[in-house]
Amino acid sequence: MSFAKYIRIANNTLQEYFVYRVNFFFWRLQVFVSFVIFYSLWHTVGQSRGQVGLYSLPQLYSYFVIGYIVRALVFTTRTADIGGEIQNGNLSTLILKPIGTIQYYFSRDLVDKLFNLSFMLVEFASIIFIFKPELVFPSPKNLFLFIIFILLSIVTFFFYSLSVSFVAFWTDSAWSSRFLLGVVFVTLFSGQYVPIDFLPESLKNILSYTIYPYMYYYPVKVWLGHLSLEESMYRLFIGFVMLLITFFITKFLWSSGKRKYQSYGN
Amino acid sequence: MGENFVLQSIMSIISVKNLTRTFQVFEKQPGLLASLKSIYYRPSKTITAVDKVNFQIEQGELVGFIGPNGAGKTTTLKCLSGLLYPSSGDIQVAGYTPSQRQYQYLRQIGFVMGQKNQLWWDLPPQETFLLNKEIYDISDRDYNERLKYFIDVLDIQSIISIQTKKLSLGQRMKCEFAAALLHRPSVVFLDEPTIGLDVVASQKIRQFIKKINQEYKTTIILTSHNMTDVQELCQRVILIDKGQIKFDGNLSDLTSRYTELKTLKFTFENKVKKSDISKFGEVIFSDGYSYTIKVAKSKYLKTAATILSKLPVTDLNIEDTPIEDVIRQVYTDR
Repeated sequence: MSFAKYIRIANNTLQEYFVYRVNFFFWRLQVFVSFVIFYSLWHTVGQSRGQVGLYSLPQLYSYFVIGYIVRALVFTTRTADIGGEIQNGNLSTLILKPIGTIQYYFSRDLVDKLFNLSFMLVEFASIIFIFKPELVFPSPKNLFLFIIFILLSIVTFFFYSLSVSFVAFWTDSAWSSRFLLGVVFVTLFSGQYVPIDFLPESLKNILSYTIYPYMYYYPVKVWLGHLSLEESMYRLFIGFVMLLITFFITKFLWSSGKRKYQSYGN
Repeated sequence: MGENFVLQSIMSIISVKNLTRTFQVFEKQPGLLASLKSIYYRPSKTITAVDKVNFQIEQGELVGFIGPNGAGKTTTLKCLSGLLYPSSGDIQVAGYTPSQRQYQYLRQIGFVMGQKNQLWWDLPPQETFLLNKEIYDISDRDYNERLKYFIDVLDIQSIISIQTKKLSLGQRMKCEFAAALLHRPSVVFLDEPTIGLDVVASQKIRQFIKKINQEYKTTIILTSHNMTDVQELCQRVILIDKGQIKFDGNLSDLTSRYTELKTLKFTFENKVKKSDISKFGEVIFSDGYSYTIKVAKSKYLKTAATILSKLPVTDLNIEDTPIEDVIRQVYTDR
């Protein structure tokens, strides 16, 4: 497989971001503002109680501040574009080229993450400067597990998001399914706004059998040192199984979706 | 797949046997009530866009698919390129089954769609060219040589570094052609390549298509509603209507098969009475000095000779019925 074409795709994608730099700036601004609001909310809760559930104040702050990095790395994606491209027929120009469609979008996703990450680092510095939160840092062992978990989450979310977009092969409009599965479920059930520990036990149990907490909640819990080595390895293993399942679902949806594709619009 | 089809596939660059493509469409009555009803009941019907179509195309041919809107020509083109899976039937293009979209096959084809961009919208065309260079593994030497050729022939030197979205439609189409042909495909599909272009830009594109076809023996299949495209480019036309082939052959054969008339245009030295002309055929234009008449094909030579001998003719033109009229005739006969 020649990587030169995927490097060129990444190159072109990066150039596109520079064309829409103002748009990107405002996108990052809304991410930053929404973080500040949620952080302030949890800060108020933490200040009034001293400890929230299992979380000491530094752990609570770290849950969201470290989570800010996780969000920029894992949940940024260009795969949301595919639904529209399937429905307006613009996918046609891509699938008639000797290039892997999935690899094409992965190249674009990596650039998207890189660009978000570069902005995020400035924002992260601002958060530290403004709030001066007391943070917890992981042991080298937990840091290593955290990095592995994040790499796993990046790939898992990519395939998950891709498969959600592929729903457009079968529906007239992919917007609603994308919003529900790709935005609402992901933000609520991955623990981005409320740690899963704070949810009712029954819901927590159900969620542990879904993909969502493996992309945010468990990696951050590893960082915080809330999981034993055995528990961390077990969650990593389940996360890996989730990745395999998502991968095969994506492959299945792509191969059957290609047959359904109608190349509308011309 | 029969033995004959295999043999034809070997001999022709494109072989199509019993190609059928159907679509399921949902029907909805107008109004809000019907919209509510459609939540739990959506009647559907199957439309046959292409119906048991058969043809072969040889290497280096330039073939025009013509037909009214919804006739099935674009669907056929999409099946040939591999964009759509056929519902049934066999297609072989350059020895491959297009719907499998093998890389070796995709390297051999190019597709230009008049209403779709392959150029990256926010970047200059040269960025798409460079991307295609990598996608198709074109060497630096070939890339530079071919790009220079396209720049010269299409006159695009001054526009390849301007953002695609800021180009005019004509400029964009020229760059679309360059992007689609950089890898020098052996088969090129053109879907309405001159749609929306002005006369000058259309002419330039037509000249380019002809040049590519002649110089590189590229097999070109085009659909167009613009009859000038078809007349100037295609030796062979496939006329498709309601998903079926109504005619497959030379353009001149199409004209002679479907029209029984020739058009004679006379200009006279002096004013001539209409009654002197109308006895020879149907007068469709007259201003006293010039007449246009339609005459049966079987006797147009005799008619022309008679008028030349009896009246003071200064100019005479004998024309076939315009292709637009021929095609209109075919569709009204259906």
